[in-house]
Amino acid sequence: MFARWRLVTRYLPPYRRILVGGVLALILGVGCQVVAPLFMRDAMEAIEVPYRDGMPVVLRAVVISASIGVAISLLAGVLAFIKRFLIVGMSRRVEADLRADLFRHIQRLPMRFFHRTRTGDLMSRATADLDSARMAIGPAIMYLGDSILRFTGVLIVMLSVNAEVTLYALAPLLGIGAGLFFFAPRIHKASRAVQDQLAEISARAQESFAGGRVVKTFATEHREQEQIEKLGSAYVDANIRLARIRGLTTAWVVGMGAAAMVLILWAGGRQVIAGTFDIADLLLFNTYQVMLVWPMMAFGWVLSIVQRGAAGVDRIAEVFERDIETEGDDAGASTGALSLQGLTFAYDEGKPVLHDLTLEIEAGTTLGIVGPTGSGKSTLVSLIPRLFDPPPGTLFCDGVDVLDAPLETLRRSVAMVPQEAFLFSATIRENVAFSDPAMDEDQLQSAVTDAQLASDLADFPKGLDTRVGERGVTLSGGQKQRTALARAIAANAPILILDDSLSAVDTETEAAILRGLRRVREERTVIIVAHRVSALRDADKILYLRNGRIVEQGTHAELVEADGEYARLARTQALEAEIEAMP
Amino acid sequence: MSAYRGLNEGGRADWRVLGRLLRFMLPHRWLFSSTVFVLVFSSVLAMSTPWAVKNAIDSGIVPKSMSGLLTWVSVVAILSFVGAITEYVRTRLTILTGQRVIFDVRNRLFRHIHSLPLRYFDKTPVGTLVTRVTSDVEALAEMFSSGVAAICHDLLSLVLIVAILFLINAKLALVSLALLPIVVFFSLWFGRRMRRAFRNVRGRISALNGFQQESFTGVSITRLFGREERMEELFDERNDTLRDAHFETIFNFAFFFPVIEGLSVIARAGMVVLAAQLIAGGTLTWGEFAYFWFAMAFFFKPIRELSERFNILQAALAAAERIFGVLDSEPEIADKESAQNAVSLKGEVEFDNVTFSYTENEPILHEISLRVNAGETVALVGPTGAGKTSIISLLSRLWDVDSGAVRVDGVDIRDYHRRELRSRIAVVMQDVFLFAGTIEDNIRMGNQDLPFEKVKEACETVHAAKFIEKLDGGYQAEVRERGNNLSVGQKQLLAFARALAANPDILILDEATSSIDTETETLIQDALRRLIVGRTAIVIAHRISTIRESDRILCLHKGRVVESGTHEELLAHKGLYARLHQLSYSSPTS
Repeated sequence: MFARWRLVTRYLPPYRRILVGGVLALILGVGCQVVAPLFMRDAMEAIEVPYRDGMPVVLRAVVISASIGVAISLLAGVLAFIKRFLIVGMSRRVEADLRADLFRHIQRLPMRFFHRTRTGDLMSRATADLDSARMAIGPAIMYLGDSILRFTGVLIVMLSVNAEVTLYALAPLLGIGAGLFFFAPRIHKASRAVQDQLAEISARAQESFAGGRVVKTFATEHREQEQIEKLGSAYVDANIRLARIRGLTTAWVVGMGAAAMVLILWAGGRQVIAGTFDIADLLLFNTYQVMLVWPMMAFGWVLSIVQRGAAGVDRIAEVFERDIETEGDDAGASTGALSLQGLTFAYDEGKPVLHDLTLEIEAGTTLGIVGPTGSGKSTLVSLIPRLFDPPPGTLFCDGVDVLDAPLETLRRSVAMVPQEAFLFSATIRENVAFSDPAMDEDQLQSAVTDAQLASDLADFPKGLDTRVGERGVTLSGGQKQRTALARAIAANAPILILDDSLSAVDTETEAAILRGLRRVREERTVIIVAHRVSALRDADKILYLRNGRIVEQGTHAELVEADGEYARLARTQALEAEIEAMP
Repeated sequence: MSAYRGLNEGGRADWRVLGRLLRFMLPHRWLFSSTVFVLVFSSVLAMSTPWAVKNAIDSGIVPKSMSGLLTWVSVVAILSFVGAITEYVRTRLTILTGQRVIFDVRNRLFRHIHSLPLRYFDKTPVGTLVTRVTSDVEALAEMFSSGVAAICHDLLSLVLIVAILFLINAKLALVSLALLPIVVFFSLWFGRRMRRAFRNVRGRISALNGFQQESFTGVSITRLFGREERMEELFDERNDTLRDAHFETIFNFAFFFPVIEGLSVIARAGMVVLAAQLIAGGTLTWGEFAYFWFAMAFFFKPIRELSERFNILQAALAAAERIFGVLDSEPEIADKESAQNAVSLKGEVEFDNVTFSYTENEPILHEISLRVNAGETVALVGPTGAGKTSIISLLSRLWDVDSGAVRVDGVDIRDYHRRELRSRIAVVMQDVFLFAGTIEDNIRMGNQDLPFEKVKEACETVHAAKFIEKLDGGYQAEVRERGNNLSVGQKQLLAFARALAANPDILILDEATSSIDTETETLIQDALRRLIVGRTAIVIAHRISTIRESDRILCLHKGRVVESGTHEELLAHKGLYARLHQLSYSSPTS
């Protein structure tokens, strides 16, 4: 139980002074709150004192007591301010620290983790779960401390004034506490159901609007409407269920509070008639009764917060328990030579995607990879920068096992254009210069030119400083790919990998890009994954992959001569071209 | 855009919107009236309980009458019991009213959004539309359940209390209420500060979450370029500013409650001091004093909450304005009165001198004229931006022409019922959009009358059946997040099946450019052949085999038809088509 809270409590030590200050303010503040009504009671009792010394004396007694009561209440107010500011403030600091560590940890988790975890799931851990953990260490501590102290303090004072009336008042108040233990988790459950239902409406609407064109062209608006109305009425139902429980809870709290008042009035009133209690005491007890309602509610509420917090902490702990990427330390200058030695790789145990690949890629050469979908092309290239870890002793960069190289060195020596061009919501310049924001202008410009992005930039309102993504320009698929390409070229790494990354650019541009890459090819190791033979013809070596195995390898000429699958592919594509070229 | 009009910087909403909003309540007026009735009842009840307490003191305790005490304590008990039940009813009724109203608002809004022209969808981010039907509608619910009604309740309670206090003893009432203006003023001031602070926090939360979301999605890029540390710096900036923004709200909260509490204690002490004199002078009874004592606990609470209620109301009005902004956007031009049914079409398509632009003065199509005979297959080719997509959008009337006319079977398409016309035309887009649901749902597209055999037959015809049957659950297999569990080729085949199941007279196909493995490619080509049999087909073609097999090729350039003819004819012509063709089939390095 306490072990998992270590995850959160280890952030407390730097703030222990704040915490101690907050707790002190809490204790003193509650003390003042409990004592203050006694002086108001004294003021009222002074009214009852029969005229002995004449009116002015009585009035002075009333004024003095009331003033002391006010002064103590004001002091309680100041302390309440300090308490809340310190304790809740501390919980926000701890939250920020925890969030920063969580972000750092997630950033360094292996890709395998991201492969299996949805971003939405990660986000909910980094937001909702984090907040429930914070609630448990900040507000929960505060309310729990406050409630326990206040309950004890008030009870002691009440008992010392009149035990019998106290016991009458206590019974319904304890009922509030018991009721909240019962209601709080149910309210939580019902409001979760409401939230979930709203999330469904939101997801459904999202999809429906995103597919607005399809809905129109198939004229299926009525179906969309039906579905949203169905979800909508389920949402109404969920809300009504929540309203029922909320209503019951409110009624219970109000009813029990009123019951306490009735009992105080009855038991107290009898004693006033009997002469063992006075009206001022009656009103004092009423004040205390009101003061006790909240602590009683807080007990149930705090329990629910702590439960939620524990669940949140568990879900955050699951992320922290994942091992981050391992670091090697065998640094060497990278020239871009790669070597595969019996490389076998599987995402899921027992289902290898690559089988026993052995291959030498000399520095400065160009390797082409071709093969049908699912043959392992993308997997192979993603192992080089260790997006996924290959088994030890199977993949070497400049003679060093990639597992032994420091990650940063390794990744700095590989620039990759992934299949799906992901750009950050920043300017095009920031995206292209992602590898080094301080990159000089020449390097940036030549990358932009090589990637055939220059003419598109001329059309953008602010050229390189145009923002992409949300609240910015929407780039076409081809423009995104070329920006990603420029980013990779600008990184100036010894190894450049194009993972089928020109699928969305038109043929004219593709030809231009490949021409532009000639310069780059001369000085770097380039790996091109492609579907078209034409993009690979110039490669120093071409691999034909099928089902994770190298079926053929060699230069274009060699492979054509070998008359295997590559040759067939090349022939089909060439034949088509020839026939089509005939008038 | 009207969606954002009328909301000035302070977030102050136009109160006229309220009137329009109340119209949504009309159908639920009985529900709303009973809510108001319960609220009034509960206000009156809240005032009566202390009055019974007063009598218990004045007619029971002070004259030392046990029977008087018993009677009045019983009255207090009964009133309290009724009060508790009223609380329950009130909570349920207010929420129910709010929910009923927003259910209608959401449905109406949703229907309206789907009737908006495509132009609207193209320029409005999906997220914004989703916000309209969720958060904004939610804000209205808040208003109906805890806004308007609660404000009425609070104000009524206040007025009642003040009136009764003055009736009992004007002088004491005056002293008790002396601080009230300060409390009201302070509450409103605090409300404004709080609103600002919260807005600040919300802005920073969304900046931080947006950043995190993007970092997680783009983690491989960060990693590939070794930029983890930079990302962490950027994260820390956002994380720290959020934390600091929280301090402001914490400060405000920590400050507000003690101040209100302090003011109420001072008011109460002043009341006690004056009451002492009055009781001594015999002009105030102990019971009346007790009434004041109890009542003072009542009126500080509504005032404290008043500011929050105002907040809700303003947020709701702002949301309502955004909602009306959408509802006021022009829907697609309504069908003409004389519009005819498009039950079955021959499929003859004609563009007569069509000019079209998305934005004024930037025409995409210039006086285009073309004819597609019934049953003919025409390939549209041309470089990006030539206007191919615009032609197919015009044909399915997602847009209307600026000048000229599009005719189907000789009738201007503006003279058909829009939805009927669309249901006779099937469009297969490049980016196949799959909805969450089963494979079968995605093929049916809402047509529940279609027998399952037809669905299956369509799938078999276009070679989709084989992979569907291999899926876990077959036709009932769930399509996850836009079909992430399906390959590009499979999605393409599903889209074909969907089009075939709709049995259209005219088929429009935007052929996928993305590379698909040869095996699937062969399947797709064959499926396409089967799909176009017996109907007019217009294909934005990227694949040479598709182009070759079409009856005619229309070559577009910069919004004009520049060449038209068969593949051989166009190659011989050695014009744009020949050049395009050469480019896609010559090696870039040769």
